[in-house]
Amino acid sequence: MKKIYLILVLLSFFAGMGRSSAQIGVDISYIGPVGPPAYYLKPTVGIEARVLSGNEDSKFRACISVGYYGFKPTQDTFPTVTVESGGANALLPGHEVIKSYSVVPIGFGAEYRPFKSRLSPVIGLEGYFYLIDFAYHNDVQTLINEENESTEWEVAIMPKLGLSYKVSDKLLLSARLGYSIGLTGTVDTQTYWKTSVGFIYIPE
Amino acid sequence: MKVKIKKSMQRAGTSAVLLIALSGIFSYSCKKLTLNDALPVVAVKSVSVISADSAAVTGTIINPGADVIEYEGLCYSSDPMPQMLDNQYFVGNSSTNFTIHVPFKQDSTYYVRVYATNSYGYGISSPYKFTVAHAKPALAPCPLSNMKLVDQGNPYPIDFVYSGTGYASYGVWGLEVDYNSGNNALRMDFNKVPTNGAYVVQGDAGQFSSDNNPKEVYAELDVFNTYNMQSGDSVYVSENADKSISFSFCHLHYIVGSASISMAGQFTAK
Repeated sequence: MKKIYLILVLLSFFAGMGRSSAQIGVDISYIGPVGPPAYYLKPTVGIEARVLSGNEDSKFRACISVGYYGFKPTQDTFPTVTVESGGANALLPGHEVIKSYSVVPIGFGAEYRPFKSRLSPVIGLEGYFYLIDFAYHNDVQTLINEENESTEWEVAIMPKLGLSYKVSDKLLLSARLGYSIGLTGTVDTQTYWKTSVGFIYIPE
Repeated sequence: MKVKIKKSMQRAGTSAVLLIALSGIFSYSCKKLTLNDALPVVAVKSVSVISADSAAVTGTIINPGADVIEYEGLCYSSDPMPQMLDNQYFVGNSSTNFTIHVPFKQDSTYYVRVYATNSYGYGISSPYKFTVAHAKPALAPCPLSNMKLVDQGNPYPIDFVYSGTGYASYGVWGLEVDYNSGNNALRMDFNKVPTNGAYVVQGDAGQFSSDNNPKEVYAELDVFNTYNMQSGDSVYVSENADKSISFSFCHLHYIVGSASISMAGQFTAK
């Protein structure tokens, strides 16, 4: 998993650096799960490296990003219940313990800045491919007691809205709020609020 | 110059509105939940004794949690904190209040918890303590004389009453009542040592054994032949302070040929 992550980071950066006018930046994000995952996963802080194509003065710019989020569970254990429909026909209580839950988001998208002033609103749309790696312990009384580890994926779309402020000719600060909506994947669709602050370095 | 200042103010205004909106949404996204917020919240509403050997436990869904209720149930034991698999009973989602009948034993204290499940897991109530008191003594609702039997309309004093586990032909405890100078014997079998209450005659010995019902009695009359008592009649039991047990009945029917003959009587077994 870590190898994939590193390769993707490097590829993304090389792809971005290959364009002379590309800008590089880093975002720190506060990610708040919405819907069912919110009951299992605490909000967390994630980091993403971003590359924006095009001149920094242009209104439309494409961006790619790679990052990492590590979620913590909201509880030490989660009560579960399993219906044993065989001869016994019983409701078997159990519990799950989430040992780890990490996400590598790979994003591709576009941003639009309507004003060329120092301070400007930014709107954008990104498509995400999430690699989700998690490990958990599953215990169902009289039936199951096992450790599980799984790697899943999900495709999501994230509209976003924010502000950017050009501090200097080489530095642009930004704050954005995105809403990532899971579309399809090998897990139940997951939705996040994502609040990001970051900077963009503008090369010569 | 004025136009430039105006545009600049418009941008600043737009940005300020955006900033406020973002702050609001950010605050909303920071709302912290736990799985307990998604689980059903349930409680025991009441426990009522409905017969000599069963109670009705009513649970109520206080909050269904974040999804629809799938199952409702209960568990009970003599342990103050029964677990979900202890004497488990459950039904599909019925309504906000659900009632389940459970068997119990007299002179016992039970702790019952109700639970409900949804797609997130299950919620289980605090234990509810209830005690099943000893049943009241039962007497046959007809005039009878102690230690006398009326067979075919003729009164007979009872000669001897023998009782105990050694006199059980089918159950675990039995008695033999000798009358008519020892020529006739009424026998009764119980599936446990009889206690206060009414017992119903099960006329089929095989069925009596397989029922293993603690409130059934098998009775037969031994004269020259053996006649089993017909199903459906009642034998009333009353426990006495000196540990003896009194039995009374208004009608026990047995068939001779095509005639149905009735017996009545009252006696005490030491």
